[in-house]
Amino acid sequence: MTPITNLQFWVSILSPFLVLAGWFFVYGNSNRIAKRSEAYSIVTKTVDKVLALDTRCANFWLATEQKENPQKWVAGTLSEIHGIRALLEMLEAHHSFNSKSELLIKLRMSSTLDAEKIEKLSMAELRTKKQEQSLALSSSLKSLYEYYRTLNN
Amino acid sequence: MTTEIIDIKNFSRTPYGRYPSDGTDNGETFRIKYLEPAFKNPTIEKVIVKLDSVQEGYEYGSSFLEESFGGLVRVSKIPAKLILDKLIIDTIFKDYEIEIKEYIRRADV
Repeated sequence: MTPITNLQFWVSILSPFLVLAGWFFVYGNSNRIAKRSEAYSIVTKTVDKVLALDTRCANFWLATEQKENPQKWVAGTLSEIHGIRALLEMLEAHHSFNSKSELLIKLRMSSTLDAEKIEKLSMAELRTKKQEQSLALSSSLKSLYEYYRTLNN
Repeated sequence: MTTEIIDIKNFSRTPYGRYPSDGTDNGETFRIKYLEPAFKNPTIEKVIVKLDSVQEGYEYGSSFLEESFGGLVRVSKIPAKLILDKLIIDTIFKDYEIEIKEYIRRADV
């Protein structure tokens, strides 16, 4: 029987540990990729909803024909914002997103503040209102994009 | 010195709008009926406003929040500092608290 050399001894001891270490690495990496993929998906859905909100606001604030009933419009808009809240809460709870409150405030304020008195606003005031809403939109998209970039790091 | 607790559900489960012309559950009425007496009462040290007992999934509109709380400064002429010292907003939604305090500060300008 050939005597076991030192090298063979250590290789036989270390090999299983190296295999285990490899599996842990692969498992951890797969988890990270899955988590990042989930965050990307939620961010994409949030962006879609924010863009849809922008269209909704444009159709309301700048409509030249008979305006939609403000109470109904605000109710529908707040429902959309509730959907955005749900997505942002997922990002906050599971993916370290920390701009939820800021985004919700901007979107809600710019969309719904004084929507009830739309009939009394002049065209200039309506354009200003839509401009505020567009600024809130671009700020929200910027926050989401900056967060999206951090997922790549 | 006492603490006054104002639960929104005692006013409405779907508060909306600024004025009575917007509906019965408007910000002006909420302010006049509930908030103003509490903030103007010198024996009340803290005013806790509970916001979460509205209908499930309900979102507050900004007009209601501004008229209710910003109106305390603009219309009721209560100093913003006094309101901010006394006011405790009880909600799990931090964005409402931030927005309300912003309206109070803005109304003071």
